Amino acid sequence: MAVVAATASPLFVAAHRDSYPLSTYPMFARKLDKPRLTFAEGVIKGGPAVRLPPALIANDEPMQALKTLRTAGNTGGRMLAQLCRSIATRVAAAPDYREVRRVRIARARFDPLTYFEAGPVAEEREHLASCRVRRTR
Amino acid sequence: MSERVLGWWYCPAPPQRLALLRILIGSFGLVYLLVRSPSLLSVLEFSPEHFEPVGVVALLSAPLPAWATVGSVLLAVVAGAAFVAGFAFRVSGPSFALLLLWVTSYRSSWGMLFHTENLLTLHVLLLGASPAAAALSWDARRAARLGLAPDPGVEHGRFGWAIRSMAVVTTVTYLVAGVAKLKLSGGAWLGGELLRAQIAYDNLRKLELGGSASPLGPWLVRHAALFPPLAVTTLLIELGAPLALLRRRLALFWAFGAWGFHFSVLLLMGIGFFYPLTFVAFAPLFRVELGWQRALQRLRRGAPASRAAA
Repeated sequence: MAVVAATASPLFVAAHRDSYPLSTYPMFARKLDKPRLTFAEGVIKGGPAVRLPPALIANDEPMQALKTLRTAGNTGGRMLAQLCRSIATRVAAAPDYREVRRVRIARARFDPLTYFEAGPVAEEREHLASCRVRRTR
Repeated sequence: MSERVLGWWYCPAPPQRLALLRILIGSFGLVYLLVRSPSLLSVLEFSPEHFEPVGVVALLSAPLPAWATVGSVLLAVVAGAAFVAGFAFRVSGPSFALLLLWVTSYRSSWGMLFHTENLLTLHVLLLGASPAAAALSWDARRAARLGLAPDPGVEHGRFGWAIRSMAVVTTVTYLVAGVAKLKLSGGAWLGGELLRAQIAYDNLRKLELGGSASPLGPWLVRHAALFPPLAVTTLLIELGAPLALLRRRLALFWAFGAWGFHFSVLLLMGIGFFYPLTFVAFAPLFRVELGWQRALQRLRRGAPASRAAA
């Protein structure tokens, strides 16, 4: 009965408070405006930058990679530089990304609906960190 | 608490029903742990600055050493196998429940909460505290040899409370999700635009993170008229979940609705809630032993015929 009462307890707390395994499941309940997104991209000489996938950032979980980038982006400083270097190390070992010379962590604002209706346009784009991909020959 | 509520909660059930739920839910948990072990162990590579303990892991002020993380996942797998087999269940039942709670909480303590695991963990906690190995188990076979096994035909409230609790927990998690939508966004959620924006954002961030979008999401967000009915249906399923506790026919109707909801989430956002998608999450709402008995009868009918043919 305690487990049942605990499961129902999120009904009586602020709806945005989330935890595990007791949750209010707020992930699809919030109103979105134009969220800011932090992402990592690979800079290629003479070509457009390529987005770096979650596996090169944290692990295969896109949301965990997203949170890792957001936390580092918000904290800045040593944490951000360290994340950039660790991504660069993984890029150096990834054969599919051998053209990538630098890793850049950037942040931009997106309108989710416009993104699919009119095209992927980023607003208020800012570069947070950049680091070299060092490869051993 | 009134006698009526207690009588409903301790509703008599056969030991096989609880045992089958142990096997079904425990097997799901065990396979899930094995399949997700790379993800559970990927936290070893995270920087300690990203550690944000949640739930029971809030007891820790710093991440565990690598050996303890690997050890807890391995122990959870061993306890899970014993849980499914019903071996030394007085130890393996609570152990698997607590270890599953620990390893899943630990993985959710690195910035992302894995809501896909909540219901499974809660169900295993309830099963681990119940006499779920009184039938169809290693322990039950040993008890039968000693003449201590419960009569399989006898229904008792001690086998029913955990089943009832799992059914209530299942419906409450959906109710909580529906209430959160109304609390955070009010009636505006029913208009469908919030849901549309959520689906668009989920696909957008996957694309911007170098991943791939879901098969249907980007196409559907261009059709705004489809979203009001989708939003209303979602809220009806979530807020109407407790109705599933009233009658089995309603439970079946609701379970199919909830399954459809999760299937839509998979198609539109690529998020797999595999526990409900496999229907295992809804099993506590039904008399699973009837299906088991029918399958056994069919096997018994088939066995002599196949032997004769051989």
